Amino acid sequence: MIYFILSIIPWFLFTILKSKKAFHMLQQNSYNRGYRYLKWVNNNKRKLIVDPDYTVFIPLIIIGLLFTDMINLLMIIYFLAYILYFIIYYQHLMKEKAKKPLVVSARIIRLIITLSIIYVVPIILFGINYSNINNIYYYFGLSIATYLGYLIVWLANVINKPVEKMVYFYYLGKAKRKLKMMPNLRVIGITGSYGKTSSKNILADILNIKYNTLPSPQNFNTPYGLMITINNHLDKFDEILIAEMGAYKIGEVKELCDLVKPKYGILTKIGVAHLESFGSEENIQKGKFELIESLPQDGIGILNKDDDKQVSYKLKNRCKIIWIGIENKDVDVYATDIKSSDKGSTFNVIFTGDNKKYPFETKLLGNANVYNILAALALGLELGITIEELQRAVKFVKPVEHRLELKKYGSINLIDDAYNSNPIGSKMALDVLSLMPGKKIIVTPGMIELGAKQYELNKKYGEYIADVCDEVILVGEKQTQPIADGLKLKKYKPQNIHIINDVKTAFNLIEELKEKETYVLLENDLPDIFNE
Amino acid sequence: MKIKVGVIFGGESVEHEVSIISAVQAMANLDQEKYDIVPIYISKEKEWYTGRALLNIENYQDLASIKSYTKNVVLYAKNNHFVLQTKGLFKRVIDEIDLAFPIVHGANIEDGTIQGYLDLVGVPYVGSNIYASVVGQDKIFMKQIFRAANLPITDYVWFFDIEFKENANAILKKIDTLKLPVLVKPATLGSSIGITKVSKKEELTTAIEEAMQYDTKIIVEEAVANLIEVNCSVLGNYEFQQTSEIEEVRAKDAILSYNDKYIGNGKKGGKSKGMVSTNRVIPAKIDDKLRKEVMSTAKAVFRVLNSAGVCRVDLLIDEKTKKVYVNEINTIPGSLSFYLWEPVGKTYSMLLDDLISLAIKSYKNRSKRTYSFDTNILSNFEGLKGNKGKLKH
Repeated sequence: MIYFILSIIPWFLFTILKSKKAFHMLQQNSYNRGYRYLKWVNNNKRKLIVDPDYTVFIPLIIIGLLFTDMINLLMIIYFLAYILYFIIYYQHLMKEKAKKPLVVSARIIRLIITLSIIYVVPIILFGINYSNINNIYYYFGLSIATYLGYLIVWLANVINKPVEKMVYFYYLGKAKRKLKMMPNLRVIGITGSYGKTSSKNILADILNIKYNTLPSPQNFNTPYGLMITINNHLDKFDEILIAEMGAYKIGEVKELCDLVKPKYGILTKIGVAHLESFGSEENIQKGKFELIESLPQDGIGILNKDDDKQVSYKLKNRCKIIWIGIENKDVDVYATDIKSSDKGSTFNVIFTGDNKKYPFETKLLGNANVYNILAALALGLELGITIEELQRAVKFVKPVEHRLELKKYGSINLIDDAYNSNPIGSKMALDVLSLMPGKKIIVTPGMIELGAKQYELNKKYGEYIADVCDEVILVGEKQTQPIADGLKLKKYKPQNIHIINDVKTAFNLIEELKEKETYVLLENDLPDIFNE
Repeated sequence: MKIKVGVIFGGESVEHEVSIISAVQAMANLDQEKYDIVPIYISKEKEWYTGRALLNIENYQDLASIKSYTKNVVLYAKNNHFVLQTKGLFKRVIDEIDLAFPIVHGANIEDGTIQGYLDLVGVPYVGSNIYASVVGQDKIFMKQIFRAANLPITDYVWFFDIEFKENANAILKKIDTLKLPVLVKPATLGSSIGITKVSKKEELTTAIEEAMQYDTKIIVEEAVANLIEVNCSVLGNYEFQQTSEIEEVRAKDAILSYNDKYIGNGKKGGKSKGMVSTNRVIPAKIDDKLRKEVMSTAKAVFRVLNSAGVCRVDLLIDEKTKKVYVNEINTIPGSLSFYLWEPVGKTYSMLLDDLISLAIKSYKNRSKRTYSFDTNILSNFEGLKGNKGKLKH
């Protein structure tokens, strides 16, 4: 028996390694929420089937069927085979550098416990009635279990579900109790199809001039995210909590509102994100308005008059609504005379009932950010912050990284919009660039993941670029062909189009092309080469 | 969920009793709807005590017996909480605080000592940080900084006691460059003890020897003629400041003696009323132009030291020439100078509220900044082999 145990040690180590990878994938796929983990397994089945350990079945079958008396040889083969697999797999994992490593959370530890029980119990049962003859079946059993390791991890996840539900309710109760103990805390909810995180950060920066404000960190916008925010980040000193609320389907914003009970609500913009899971555009609209409809009678909702989907909605509750706008002037708070420069933007704001123009300046760029600022101004004023304080606060609002972020690179002005990937945002970035003086250069690999419209949208994008930019640097010849086609259509001069394949060479090119005053727009998914 | 405010007072200081009076006053005025008050008394032997008995001024008549009504504790951070734990054999956490409110006066405690301790433990606290507190205690540091910032001060000479002992003549020669009368002061004591006004050259040595009993650093400065002494309190932080009403201090003696400053003209056995009972006129009887100058100078003094919370800036005016001089700044003024804020519409409770929210704000801003790097430079340290192991400074 001792030899048997020794012979399975490499198997054991290999199983740990493989399970770790499986846990990592499980975690990255939201613990199989909406079957995301199983979908991932399904999408990668070709790769997973040829995990090195399938080869162990060859000697197992041969010996098992033909040479049942060679059990000692089997032990040695088994031992060596898994040492080999371990080495191969380990090197493979080392090469594959993860963007986000596995976080050993309490949940993962609970899964490890369950998984250990799944593996260890049969081994102990076997130990109780050990005999050399049924050995072969156990080797079989262990190998199959490991070979199907990804599914065993899924099984552990299923088994743990009731426990996780209890844990969820425990933390939910804890968060609710904590909020109850802070009756003076003012809660603001922010939702919309895009721009939530920017809006949240800008609002937090502005309200912070007077109140201790806690925005939910990063892009925490699920029940879990908000529970963590409340349980771990909120402290006694906080006067305002800003909860970002994300949703994939109808009812999810409502659920978040039931948790944090916002008195104030801001809708950014309603688009078509997550159309598939929402079912229809009406449902998206309804889903977002759950925030405003959850507000109490004395609550305040901030809506955007320039968004048709907000104007057309028939509200079912009667809380106070403050409208903001840029194009529409019949609103409560609106901005005019928006100007952009290398210092950022300036604009005047007019508050209803007060016909004075109040000048504002900010380091931020783009109309989307002006909307975000307007929403914050409307709310700030309601919360008792004076206009003078608001003017000062807006001046110090920090730009959001890689989202139309204005920065200097030597003598060049960079507009970093590298996190953007949607057509509307890309067009807006061009609008901002067009307002800048001097030479205008764009660096872009084009937009991806646009499905059937990919070619069409990129070509259109090329036409916009032709109207704005003096020089175009396209990254990746094949990928940017649609943009090149768009440029050609507009009879853009070929000598001003520069196609490169390695993004690193973009910098040298810019150095050659630059003039005294040069603006470079970094658009779409570009690596962080300019952040050295 | 009320904010637990630990009011810290006492300490090994000549102004121990004044600190008790200031603190008990403040605790009586803290809004109990918003705050849970945790009194923390530091005895002259530097032991820390807490307990409800500390809220009542009557209990302090016998400082030895107060220890039997209270618990001897230490303040430290435990699992992200700032706890008060008993000393002795069975160590129990008996209370905790969210925020410290030091109301301490004088050297050994107000001078950055308590601030440094609180910073090290990590407790957010009310008032100036360690740097402003250190400078605010040392009359020489103060003058050096004020002079560098072009703030108006009178001329001065300073020296260590050892220099005077070794070569008194050289020091006296230096003092000769000043115009008489001069004031001889121990530099870091804080109260008026050891200060002498000298009008005749012959009296200098005695005055210096008197001051040297209290301090190793001595300052001799020109006195202001036709003196009006005024105080102005400043509230805020480095971003914005507001000023209080200006008071005029009228003393019978040439300068404020210790009795004058803190005990007032209370008779023997009578109750001490602390700062308020000094002979003072509020508002000071000075014209508008001087008022403005006093206020803007006070703000500038507050700013140049990066002070925070409430401070009191003492200024000297030559009534004839209408010239304003900065005398000193008190980073934790007696009674937190609440009596200067009431005339401008800020009650003591409101002042305390403002102080606490200023402290929270600066704590929040500070915790947003990074103070340590996530990567450990020692993780790449390859031991003391060859040149790689040498630390470069």
